[in-house]
Amino acid sequence: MLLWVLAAAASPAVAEPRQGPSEFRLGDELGEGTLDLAVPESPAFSALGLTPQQVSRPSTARELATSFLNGVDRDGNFQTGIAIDVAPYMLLAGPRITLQQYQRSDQYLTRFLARWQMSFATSRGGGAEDTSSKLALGMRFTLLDEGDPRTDDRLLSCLSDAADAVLASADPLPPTMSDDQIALEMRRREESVRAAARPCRQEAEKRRWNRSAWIVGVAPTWTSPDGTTSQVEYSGTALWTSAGFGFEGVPVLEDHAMLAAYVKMRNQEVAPDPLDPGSFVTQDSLTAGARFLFGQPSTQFNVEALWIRNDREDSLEDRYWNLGFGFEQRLVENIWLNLAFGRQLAREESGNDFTVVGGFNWGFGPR
Amino acid sequence: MPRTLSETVLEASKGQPTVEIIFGSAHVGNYRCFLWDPDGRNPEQLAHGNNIDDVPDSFVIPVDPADLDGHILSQELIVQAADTRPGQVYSVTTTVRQGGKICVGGVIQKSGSLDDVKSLIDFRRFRTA
Repeated sequence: MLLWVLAAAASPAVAEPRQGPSEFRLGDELGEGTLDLAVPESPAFSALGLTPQQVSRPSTARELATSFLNGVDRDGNFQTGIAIDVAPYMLLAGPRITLQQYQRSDQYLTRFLARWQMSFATSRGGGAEDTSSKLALGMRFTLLDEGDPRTDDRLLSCLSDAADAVLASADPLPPTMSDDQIALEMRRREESVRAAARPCRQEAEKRRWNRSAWIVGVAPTWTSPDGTTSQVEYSGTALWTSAGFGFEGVPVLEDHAMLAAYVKMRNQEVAPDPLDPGSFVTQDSLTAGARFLFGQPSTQFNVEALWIRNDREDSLEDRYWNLGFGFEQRLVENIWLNLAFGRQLAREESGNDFTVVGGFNWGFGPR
Repeated sequence: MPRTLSETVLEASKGQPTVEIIFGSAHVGNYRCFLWDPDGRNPEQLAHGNNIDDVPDSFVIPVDPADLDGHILSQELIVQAADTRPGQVYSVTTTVRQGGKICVGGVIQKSGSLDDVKSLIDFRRFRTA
C-alpha cells in the first residue's frame, strides 16, 4: 500500500537557537516531530529532556564544587532541578592559556581540553506522586573544528581593532572617579566594543559556516527510584556524534557546500509508543543520517537522509528511512524562513510493505 | 581625594619595575596603562597594546623606584571572547617585577564570567620601601 501525504503543516518548524557553523541542526520535522541530531551544547540536559530555566555556569573551582554539593541535601536525597554547565579545563587552567599557546599547531591537546564541556543535571520523576530522581552527566568533546573562532586571525584582528578604537577615543579614567561613574563608563565601553565588533563577528560567521568539524557528546543517566543517593541505578546512555566536511581546498564547494553525518544512540530509552498512543515503550534507538548543504550563510538548500532503528523491549522491529530536502533563508539576523519536504519510507512494524508519508513544513524563527 | 588603593611595594635599590599583562582563557585582550601623580592627576601613558600581535605585553616604568613612591598605576583592559556564548570565563593577570622578581603585592588578577566583552580597570599605588 502506498500512502502519500502532502500537507502544509500548520505548526511552524521548531525554533532552535542558531548554532555554530559546524553545529547546524539536522531537523526532521516529519511525522513524529523533530529529530534533533546535532550534538547538544549540554548533553546532560538533553539526555533528561530538560530545558533548564536557570543553568549554573561556575566561573571558579569553588563555585563548581558548591554547585555539585547543592545537588544533594544533608539527608542524602538528590535535589532536583540542578543544571550545571562548565568547561572544566578552562575553569581550572584558563589563566595560563594564552591565545598564542592555544593557536600553536603543536597544542592540539590544549585546544581539545579547552573545548571540552561538561554538564550535570537532575530532574524529578514524571508523576505527582513519583519520588524518583534522574541524573545525567554529560560530556561534549570537539575533536576537530576548522571553524574555531579562536584560530580565525581575521576575526581576532578585527575584534582587537574595535577595542583599540574604543580605548583610544576615551579619556583615561582617574583614580579619583567614583565607583558608580567607573561602572557606568565600563558599561559604555562594553556597549561600544560590542557594536563595533558586530560586523567582525558577522563576517567571521560567513567565512566559517561550513568549516569541517567533528563533535562527540555522551551522557550516561541514572535513576534513583526513591530519590536517595543509596538507590541509584544506571538507566542508559545517550551518545551523539556529528562530523562535517567543508570541502576545504575544493574550488566553489569550499565556499558553498558542506557534507555532514550524524549518529545518535540511546539505550534503555523510555519513549512514547507510536503503535500505542498514550503509552510508553522502553527501547534502544539508533539514528544515523547524512545531509548535504549547498548555498551561502544566509541561503541554503539541503538534502538529507536518516535511518532510524528502534529495538523495542517487546521485540517489535521499528525501522525506517526518512528522506527530505529543504530550503532555509535568513530574513534578518536570527530569523529564518524554513521550508522542508520529506518522505518516510518502509516502517516495518506497520505491516505494510511500503509506506511513504510526506510532509511540508514552514516556519519563521531562530534557526 | 584619591580612593584607598591596594599597594605594590617597590624596593628602592632594585631598579626600574617592569609590568607584564597576560590575558588567559585564549581571549582577545587590549590594554593601556597610565602613571598618575600621588593625588591622582597628570596621567602619563606608559603603554598600550593587545595580545594578538607579536609585541610583548610587558613594559618598563622608566622612573626610579624612589620617585615612584605614592604614584598610581592604572590599567584599562578590554577582554573579548572570540566565540560568543554564555558560561565562559576570563582571566587577566598583571605582574609587577623588579630585577626579575615579583614585587610584594605585584600580582593583580582579575577573573569572572564572560559572554562576549568585558571592560575592566584597576588602580594600584606604589609604595617604595
